[in-house]
Amino acid sequence: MPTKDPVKIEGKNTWEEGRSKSVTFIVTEDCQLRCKYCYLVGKNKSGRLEFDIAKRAIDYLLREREFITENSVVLDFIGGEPFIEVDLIDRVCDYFKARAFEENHPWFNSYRFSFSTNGLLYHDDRVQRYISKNKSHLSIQITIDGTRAKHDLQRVYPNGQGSYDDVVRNIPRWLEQFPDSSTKVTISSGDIPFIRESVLHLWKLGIKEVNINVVFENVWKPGDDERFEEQLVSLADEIIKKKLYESYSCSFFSKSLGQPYRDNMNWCGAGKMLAVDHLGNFYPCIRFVGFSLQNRAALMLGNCFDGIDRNRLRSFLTLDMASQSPAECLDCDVATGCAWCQGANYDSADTETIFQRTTYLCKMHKARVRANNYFWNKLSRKLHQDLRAQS
Amino acid sequence: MKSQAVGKITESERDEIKLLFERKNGLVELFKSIQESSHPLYDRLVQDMGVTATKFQKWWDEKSRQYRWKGVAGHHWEINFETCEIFLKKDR
Amino acid sequence: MLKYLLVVLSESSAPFCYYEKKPRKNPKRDLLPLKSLKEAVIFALKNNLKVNFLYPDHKLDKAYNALIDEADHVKIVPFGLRKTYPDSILVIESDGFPAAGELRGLRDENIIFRLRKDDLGKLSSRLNLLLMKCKRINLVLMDIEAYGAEDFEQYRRQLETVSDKILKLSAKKDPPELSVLTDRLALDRMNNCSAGLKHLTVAPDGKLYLCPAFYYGRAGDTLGGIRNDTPIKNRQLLELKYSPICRICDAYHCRRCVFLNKKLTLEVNTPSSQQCRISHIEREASRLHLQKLKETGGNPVALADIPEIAYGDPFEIVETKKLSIADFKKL
Repeated sequence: MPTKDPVKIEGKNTWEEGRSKSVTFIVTEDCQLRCKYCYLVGKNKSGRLEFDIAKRAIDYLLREREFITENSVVLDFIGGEPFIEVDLIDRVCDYFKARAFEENHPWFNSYRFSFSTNGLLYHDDRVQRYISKNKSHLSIQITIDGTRAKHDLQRVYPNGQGSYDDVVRNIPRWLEQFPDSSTKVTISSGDIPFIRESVLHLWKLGIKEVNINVVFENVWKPGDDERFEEQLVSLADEIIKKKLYESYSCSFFSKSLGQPYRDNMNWCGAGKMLAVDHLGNFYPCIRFVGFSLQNRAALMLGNCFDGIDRNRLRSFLTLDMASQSPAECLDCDVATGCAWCQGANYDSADTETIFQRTTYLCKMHKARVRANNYFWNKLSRKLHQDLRAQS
Repeated sequence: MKSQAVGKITESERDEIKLLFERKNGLVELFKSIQESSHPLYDRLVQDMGVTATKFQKWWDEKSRQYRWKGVAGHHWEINFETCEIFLKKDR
Repeated sequence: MLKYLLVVLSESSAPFCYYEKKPRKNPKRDLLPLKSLKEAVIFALKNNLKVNFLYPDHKLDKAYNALIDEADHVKIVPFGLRKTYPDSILVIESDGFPAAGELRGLRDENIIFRLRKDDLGKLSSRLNLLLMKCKRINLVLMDIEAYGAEDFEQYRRQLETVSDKILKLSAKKDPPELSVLTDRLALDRMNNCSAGLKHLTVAPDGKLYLCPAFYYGRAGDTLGGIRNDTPIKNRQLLELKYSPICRICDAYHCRRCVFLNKKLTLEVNTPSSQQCRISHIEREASRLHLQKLKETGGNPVALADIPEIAYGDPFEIVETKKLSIADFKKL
């Protein structure tokens, strides 16, 4: 009998991770909310995906077997808020299923429909009908940021009112339908004081897996790293004291974090995935679409009419850690797990390139590493077992 | 007894049943999309559902015989696709 | 370190590389202002730079000629002005290829031959004519973004024919050089264009650019006015080390044109599939050429063999040849 690992804090791998093609359909550029940290800076009502465009994109993807070789696919529906367009999504999914079956495409035997939603429409009959029709192939992540105070600080309606109450009422139904679901929390400078209580609050709501990230943009103020570290250490203490590591996970804590680089792989998957906008244009991911960028023009890879320009993919597929990182990053003793976003890098770079990595997160990463070390060292002592990564 | 581990299979055996499991679910959910018997894919779909269900059951019958998994009335076997472990679970 | 400066004397200057010039109604009005030319010459003198002047399709007046003569330089001129400016590098376009009579006067010239894709089928016959008359030919394939499988095969066959011609001429004391066929024979490391690293360009607007193509082909890509210590943002991306594809490649003669890279892949450090395939057709032609030369027992016996390889584009092997961070730092 295999022994069971009592420490669940690192969470699970996502479905077919590293083996599936991720295709993001931007079904709408509209959203009911105006979250203050959102990277989608140009929300609008006109950017709506038409069914015929989605159909063409699917036909293209199914046709290009020699080029798109993955045997699994995740069709990711994103916005704006995707469920604003649930009827369209329903038609697109029906079309995908029928075409993949008709073509005897391997994707028919290995697909998922994935959603990141603000949860405001989760109870809507149309959304519920869609869920019951596709239940075994769905991955739905409702974004709730933590406590009411934390959530409403950022996730607000255009009139400034918070959205916490409207989301939290849908959480029980969501967890009943998808008990293993996770949520995604985003941390900006002003959110730091709420981290500990927010993670604990989400677990209390029954969301066992909390994926939490700090924003990639240059928003950090002096002292944020220290405040961040305090929050994580305090959270670590609570997790260990109450043995929460046996049942819950939080992506801030990971054994693989904080080692020197061993390999030269790119951290971001842009280019291996694909995003499709309402005009049928293809992008390396949603962060390269015009409305995600503040300083640069959109970076397109092609479109559903002419296909993907493979020359434009070459830089994404050959981009490695060393070619884009400053020397300080390559020499860093605690480099692993330090995140970046290729789109945010492109937007901030001195020239139009994806080969210039930003270092805005350097201090925040180092703070996270210290808190992470604290957690694993303390837990190892408690459990009389060395849980730390071997360097 | 809520769930009891009764055996483990190889990765290639896991891949066989995973594919059949996914296909079975895919066919059921495609059926929900098509429904009308006039749909051009309807007959092919119905036929495939029958074939896949048979293959699926055959796999469990063969493997349970081969590995002699413990069986109890009112229970069924389930697989954890990540670990390749087989569990005996009580029917709902 | 900068070694030389390219000075484009006019909007109508002969394009000598992969870019197209802009059509101008009155070329004389588009001359680089004398003031800017003087700045460029002084800049070259102060920084020990040789200058390559790109000449327009008309004669320059005395004031220009006098300034040009102040610096060590090479003249790059359209074929039509060969008599006005002897001892120049001549640019010949495939779509305005000189008649046999016009070629008669050539003797040991250095030629830049720009070949349009539509003229690919005439490559060997054109080169056979030029090889008889020239010391060196730099071949520039235009329109490479439009090259497909059939064009690549056609190019391979054409080079095979040209190789035979050069082999015949090799019996002479100094056989002619053809950049895409003979340069690779003597190279043991990358020898590329190096725009922005070894040279900069002064364009007709009096400003600095990475190369003429960035002036003609990409509005707004200026590096600013002529001055010392010109800042090139993300300059490291022009270096071989920062190109994941090129740093593992041994098509050492490849131009690694950063303009074409930017145009086709959106990144200066990433070559297009067409650039790589063409360079590898040339590499393979060079390999076979060298083999034949060695069989005939000529001078190249001392040159190292070019290894046979199974790929036509190093993009195919990047994943397997990925450098470790430690190896990257050693570069």
